[in-house]
Amino acid sequence: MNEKDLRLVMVFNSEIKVNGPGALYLISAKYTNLVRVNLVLLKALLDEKKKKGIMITIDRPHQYVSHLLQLHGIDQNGLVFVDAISSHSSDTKGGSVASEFQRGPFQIETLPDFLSGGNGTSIGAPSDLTEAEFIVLDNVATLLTYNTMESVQAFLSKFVTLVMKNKHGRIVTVLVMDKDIHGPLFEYISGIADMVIELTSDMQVKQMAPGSAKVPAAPEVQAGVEVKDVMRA
Amino acid sequence: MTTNGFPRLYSGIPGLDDMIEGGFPFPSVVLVAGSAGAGKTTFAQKFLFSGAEKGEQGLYISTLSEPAQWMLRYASQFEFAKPEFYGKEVVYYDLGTELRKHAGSEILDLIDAKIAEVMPTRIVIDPITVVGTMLKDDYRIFAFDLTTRLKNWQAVTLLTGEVRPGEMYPAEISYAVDGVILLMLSDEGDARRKYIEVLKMRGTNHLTGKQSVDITRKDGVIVLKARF
Repeated sequence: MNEKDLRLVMVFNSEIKVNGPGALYLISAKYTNLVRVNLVLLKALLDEKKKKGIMITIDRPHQYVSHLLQLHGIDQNGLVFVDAISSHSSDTKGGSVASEFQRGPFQIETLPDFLSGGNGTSIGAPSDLTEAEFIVLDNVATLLTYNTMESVQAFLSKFVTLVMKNKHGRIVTVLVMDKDIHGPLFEYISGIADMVIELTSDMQVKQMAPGSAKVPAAPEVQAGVEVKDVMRA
Repeated sequence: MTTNGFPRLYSGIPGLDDMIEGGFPFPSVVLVAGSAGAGKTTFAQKFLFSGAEKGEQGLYISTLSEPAQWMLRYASQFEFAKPEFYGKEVVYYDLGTELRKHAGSEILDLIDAKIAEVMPTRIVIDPITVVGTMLKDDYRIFAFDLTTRLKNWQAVTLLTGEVRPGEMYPAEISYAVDGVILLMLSDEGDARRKYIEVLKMRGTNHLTGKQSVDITRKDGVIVLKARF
């Protein structure tokens, strides 16, 4: 990790509140930086905050994320992977971390049920949401490759409801995507997110241009970091 | 840059992006094949340095056991190869010495480890055909596993491939890649002209047919048609 990455770790560490009530954070980054942003995010959540969580991998088999974390010295003991893509990948890359599998990313509307207690689509035991303090998706826009916009929206709505209503009610969900590529999805998630953080192509937090009527008039500014609070729809 | 929601990465080769709907699909693995002197390494280096200009991380994996200073010395003849990028935005990794010591699966792990360390957006493996010579019977499986892993690392990778006499492109690797670009030399009277042809580019409505190219100190490989 370079200096910019480490600065971003500190931004995520201070801006993403895991101890409070459940919340949805949306981060927009250039598509070429999505892997790096996820790494930085997981470093903040696992190493800095020492939190436990779930990472749902849709864009690549979980072994790649795990390998990246391992190589960068990030402790994975608190992380469980839910892998929704491995069954569609003839990948030989090995992995030895805690992981569970979904049959595929096509019936994404079943994922909330899978997380909350399992259903017919799960291969392994369902994840235990009572242990999780955060959930990260890698990455949410990939769902559009396999599902219609309507079903992705339905999934997100159900997912957020599930996460907010779990018995502890304190799970933080972080979604990372490129708003320039998937504008309509970004707008939809902005509408249900508690906070939106937009990054520049060189991994710095940039001023957010409010595009939604739900956005408060004055964005919060802290130490050169500007974030936008979005009212829950 | 996107086409119908499909992300693309600017190639850095003047004129080429117009032929492939704005750039290489991201992520993807593209074979750049040609005979000796056709411009493969220049093409690949320009791809990396163009990314470096935009702050994108690049990784150059050499399979030749060639000391880095030789690659740097030749590359320095091009204006685009700015020394300040070496070791930072353009990281050099010599895989050649490892190829002599390890099996295919171990080579994959070495490449994985370097990619996970550097986290590049742009990767070059130059030339991939040397690996085929080393691995022999295991090469076809290696090629498949390599391309699968490279795509999952979320980067655009250029594999350069040496073409044998009478061969159009290295067949062992071409089936596994997302794109094939040919760089050709052609004897025409007293002149030897250079051409480029996009033979395959998945998800892309690419221009077909040979286009003239030139190699200049300023820009490296240039597709001449782009000038008109």
